[in-house]
Amino acid sequence: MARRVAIVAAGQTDHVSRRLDVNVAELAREAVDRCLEQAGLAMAEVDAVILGNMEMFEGINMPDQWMASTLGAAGKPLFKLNTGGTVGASTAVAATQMLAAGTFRRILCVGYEKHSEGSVQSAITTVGDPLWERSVMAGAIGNFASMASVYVDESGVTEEHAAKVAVKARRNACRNPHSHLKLPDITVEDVLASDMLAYPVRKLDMCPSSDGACAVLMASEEDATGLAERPAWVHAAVTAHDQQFMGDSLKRLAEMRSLIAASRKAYAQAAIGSPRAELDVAEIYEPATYAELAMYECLGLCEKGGGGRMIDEGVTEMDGALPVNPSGGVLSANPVGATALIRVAEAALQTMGRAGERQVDGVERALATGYGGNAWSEVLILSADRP
Amino acid sequence: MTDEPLRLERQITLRYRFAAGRFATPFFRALRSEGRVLATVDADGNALLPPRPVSGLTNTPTTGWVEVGPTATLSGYTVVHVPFIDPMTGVRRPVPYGFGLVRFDGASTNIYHLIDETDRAKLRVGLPLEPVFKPVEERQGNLADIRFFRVRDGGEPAPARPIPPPDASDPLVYEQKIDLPYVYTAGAAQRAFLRGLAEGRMIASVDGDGRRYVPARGHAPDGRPLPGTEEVGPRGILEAATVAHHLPGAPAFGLIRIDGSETPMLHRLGEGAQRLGPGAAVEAVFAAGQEEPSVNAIAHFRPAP
Repeated sequence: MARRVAIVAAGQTDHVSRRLDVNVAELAREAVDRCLEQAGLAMAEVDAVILGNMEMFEGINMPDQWMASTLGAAGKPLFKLNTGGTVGASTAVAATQMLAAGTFRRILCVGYEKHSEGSVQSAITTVGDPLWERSVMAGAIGNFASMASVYVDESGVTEEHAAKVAVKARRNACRNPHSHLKLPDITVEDVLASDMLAYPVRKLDMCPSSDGACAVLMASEEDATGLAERPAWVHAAVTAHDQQFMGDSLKRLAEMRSLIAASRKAYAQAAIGSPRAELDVAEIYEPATYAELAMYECLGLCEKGGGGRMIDEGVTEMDGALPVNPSGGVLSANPVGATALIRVAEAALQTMGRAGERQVDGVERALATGYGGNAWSEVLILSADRP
Repeated sequence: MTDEPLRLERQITLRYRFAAGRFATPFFRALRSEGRVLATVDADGNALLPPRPVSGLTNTPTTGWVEVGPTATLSGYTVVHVPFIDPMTGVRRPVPYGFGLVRFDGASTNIYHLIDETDRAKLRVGLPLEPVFKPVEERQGNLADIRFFRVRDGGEPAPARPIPPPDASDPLVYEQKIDLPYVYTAGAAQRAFLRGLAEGRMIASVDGDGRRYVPARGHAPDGRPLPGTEEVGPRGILEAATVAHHLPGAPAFGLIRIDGSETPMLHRLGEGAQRLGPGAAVEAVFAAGQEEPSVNAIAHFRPAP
């Protein structure tokens, strides 16, 4: 019988465009210290560390070796993962499996990125297949914009729909002390007047590049209740892949095979029949406004083609029936290796009732997702109820 | 001493030799020499391009080959306005340019490619396209042998045509270079250490019990924060040494424990220290004229008097 698993604490840095005072290891350590302080756990009491990062963004290969001491992991198991944008959530999925199996009792998940230190364009190129994709890539934004056009064509969402997502995110971010892009006065008109980066994606439709780190402490049931008053129990932690070439999934954002597969499996594990009615809050990995609308549909939060109406009706606003990204989301802070773990951390804080000014009332069940350029998706469902 | 941020700009150039393998080899040969487009099919009849050994739609091995296109259809599109320096060529692509997901007629999957249209009002999903090839003598056996796709006027799209498995002998190998620029931002202890070296001084981090760590660092090996710093050295004891005969000039390297330090540091050995063994006393020789803070402010270690 697998052990029950919970998130018991979370910490993160204040995400900004450039942290010039610390190196990568010290940046990650800040999040670790904040996380362990919340749990009241000493570094020596952590059994294992799982580290998530995209090495090419900083040009440091094997950062686990560089950072082991600073993470308090010397002499302990330290696992490095890289699953692209999903990696932070992958650390939480991996920790869930190890804790459920009884391999460890307390695992620290850490994700970080210092985008100010690398060349996003060059690093993204190394993600492409060497023969098939690198010679014709157009960077992350060009690739993403092509996918978004398919979704616009399929769903009929408008640039106003997308702009409303941009406004929601940056206003929510004002309640989150850790967020990078806080724009209290942003309007739909501002978004529509911002520069066109690549049709249909405008500057304010897109996430920023951030320096930041996040740490999440997870424990198996023997320790969870001692480390948190109200642990966020893991009811599902699922990962799914798509095919290997970027052009393989035909509808791209409009029908994200990996997100559809992972979410349906997660709903089944958590016995959720109607996600829109049964979830209280969601923290999703939306790299751009159009992605959030498409993800409403792929996650089954609305019917196919209903993404635009969902934002029009205010369902996902802070005071709506299902707030999405009270933290401000990826649109308001994106240190890639940490980003998906921040989703997990925020969903956990909501479940634990520790989300401060961005707390949604009465959260019993929360969803978190990770997105890895359509290649991967991760879905976690957390609940205040012990499974 | 100043404690301004310290950013060290560097670049890694990555060089690879990729074996194209059994599927890309015949594809790129046919594209380059004949302008033909080949794909593999799976048990359900999906024509998969790029050709591949296993279908991701059925998770079973592919069963044969077809020829598709060269006419194509636009599946998704954008007009890119963001400046983009292609790290493969180092050349900035002129903006705006059209870009999109393209499906060769008869294929079940898309590829990304350039579109010869920057007016997005003229682009739509389902638009008929055709490839514009480079002259045969300029083709290199990659997707850039197609310069771009342009809008096609009329003509029926061709279905997939079954072909016998193409010859995959004499497999292709592709050499590739990627420039990866990056910046390393030093932490507070590293800044103190590197700026100290530039002044000919060696700085250790110190813990609450007076233990010293060289090079200076933010945390001890067991994870404890190291709040203070202290000047040490430049003498130390060689803990391990090697001569790198496989490198030009056969340089010698050693792990040197600076007097009073808990941890050794790696550096070069010179001026007769190349033949020293563990336990020998050495001292740092500082180099003049370093342009930016670096461990190269120490030229090497030599035998200590």
